[in-house]
Amino acid sequence: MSNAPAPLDNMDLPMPSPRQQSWMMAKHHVGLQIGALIVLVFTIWAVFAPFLAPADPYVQNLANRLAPMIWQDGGSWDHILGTDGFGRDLLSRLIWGTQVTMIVGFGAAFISGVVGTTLGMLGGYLGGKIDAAVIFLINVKLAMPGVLIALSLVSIFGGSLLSITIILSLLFWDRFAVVTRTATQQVRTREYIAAAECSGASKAWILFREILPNISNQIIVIGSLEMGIAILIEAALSFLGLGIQPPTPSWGILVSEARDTMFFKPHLIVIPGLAICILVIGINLLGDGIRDITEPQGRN
Amino acid sequence: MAYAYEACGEPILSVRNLEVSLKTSVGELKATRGISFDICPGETFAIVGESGCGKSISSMALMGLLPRIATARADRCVFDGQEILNLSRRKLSNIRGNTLSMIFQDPMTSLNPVYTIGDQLTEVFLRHGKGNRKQARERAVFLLERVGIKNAAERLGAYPHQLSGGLRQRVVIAMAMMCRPKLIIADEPTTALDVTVQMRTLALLAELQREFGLAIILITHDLGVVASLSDRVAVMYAGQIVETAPTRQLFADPTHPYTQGLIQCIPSYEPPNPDAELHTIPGMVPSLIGKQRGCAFRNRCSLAVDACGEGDEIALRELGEGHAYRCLQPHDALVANWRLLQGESA
Repeated sequence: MSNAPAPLDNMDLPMPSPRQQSWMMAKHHVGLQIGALIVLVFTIWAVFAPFLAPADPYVQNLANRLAPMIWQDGGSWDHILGTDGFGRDLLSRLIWGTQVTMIVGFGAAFISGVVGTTLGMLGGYLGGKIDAAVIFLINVKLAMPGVLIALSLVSIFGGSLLSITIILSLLFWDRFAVVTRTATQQVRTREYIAAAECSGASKAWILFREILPNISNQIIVIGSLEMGIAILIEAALSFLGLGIQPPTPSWGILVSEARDTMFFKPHLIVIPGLAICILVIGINLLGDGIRDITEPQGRN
Repeated sequence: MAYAYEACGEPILSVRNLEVSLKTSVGELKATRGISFDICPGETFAIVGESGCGKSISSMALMGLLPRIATARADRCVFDGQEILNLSRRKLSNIRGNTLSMIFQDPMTSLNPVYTIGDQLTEVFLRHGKGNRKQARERAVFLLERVGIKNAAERLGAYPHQLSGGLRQRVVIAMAMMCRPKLIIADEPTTALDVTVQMRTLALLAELQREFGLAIILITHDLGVVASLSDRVAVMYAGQIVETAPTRQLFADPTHPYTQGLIQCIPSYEPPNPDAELHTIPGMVPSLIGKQRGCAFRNRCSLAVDACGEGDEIALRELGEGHAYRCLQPHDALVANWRLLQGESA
């Protein structure tokens, strides 16, 4: 019992650092790679739309309405995916639409994430009356018919990009709040939180520096889900004529405009529909993948 | 009165009549009923007792970590010249992690998995304004080496999951030492470790204590740990200190029937009777909900008499040299009982 502790020799455990570990897992994660590829391609489209789009998405040419796609009879390189009912180049409208769609999707997920995470973490960590207030807000939100409220708000505030983004973010914060509240309650009971309190850390420090990094991967998953749903609902609102207003080329508008011609020019509705579908799948795959590779180590 | 608590002239921590109660759905639960003790600078004071006797919750009360449903009050609770009980969060933050720090039971969960140990070590130092980043790093390296971690400078970049349990507990100990504390509360510091690592960790604690002159409150249920590390012991039962004594004295002359039972329960490997049955203390800890009368141990005690159930509480009796016990029986009768038990187990 009197011996001084000898330095231990099992120091160099062959455990990789979290970054190496994430990288190793990412290399074998097919879903993550596919999702990342899809999101990357669409992001490039959105960012470089002015350079990538072959034509102006707003210029109408009524003489060249409903032109066929390149591989159909009469197709030309001028309009690779053909033209819509007003003679506008579909490919250009699709590429510009990516920008609108991704801004709305990302913006709504981000704003709702900030609001929901803040509420959820405050409720989960502080408990008591504040938690009761947060639960009350969540219940009120869950009891409201979301899409109807969104429709009425859009009809009041108009269909600008900003108002649509904010209105959609009001629809989605509750899931962030529910998940982060529960996750915070779990993390709060860990000894390292008590240890941080014991070492004189403030409440804000514990919330944002101790708890937040430990629940961030859950937030990423919800964020990706909500971004996908936001894109779908934006498309739905646009389709109903209450979202982004034409002639702005959002994907929902493209689908909506192709409604009249869907029986004899189905590609006009299928292509933007497919784009929505692929982007939402890509975002979900990416979110799931990021969750898998960023799981904080040693939590269990 | 209460000579037994006062072990030295200028205690680093002086607690009188600490009471912690929890509000539960079935009534008020008195987790501790008037605990008093003094801690001298540089000594190790062990608090032993079984689960639920109130040893952990009294340390949580001292650290200001009580759950919302708990309230604490005391006649006096002075650490380093300052009343610390129910202090405002801001004032408490200046003390916690600084002159008063704590080591937790489970090294697996007491380090945050998303930060490197270097981040976590230097953080405490920087938070209390002990110096700049470079000095914090130097202190961290110094302490990691001091607690027996090789290549300390490289190890600063390691994450908790890259270290074994024993190493993590060393990091936790180093973290508690970052700001040169005067008192460390160690809540079952070795319970979660392998037995082989336990002893080395305890030896390390003892050595650091000698070197840096800090006082330790050691909370444990393991009398072996008590015997090897502490200077003085308080035995707790059902929220009360039932016996307090210098460690040597406690093992030589256990007086309270509960202490006797506890020591009796330590398995002996020595002849003459290696096949002897393991000892247990029969019965259960009484419910702590509602008002207690008399001695809480009387239902499990072979020496209990009717008077044990009377009055609010049994008074503490002095035996001198810091030894006191809370029992109605005279010392002679208890010594005789201990001889009897010894003879029985031999």
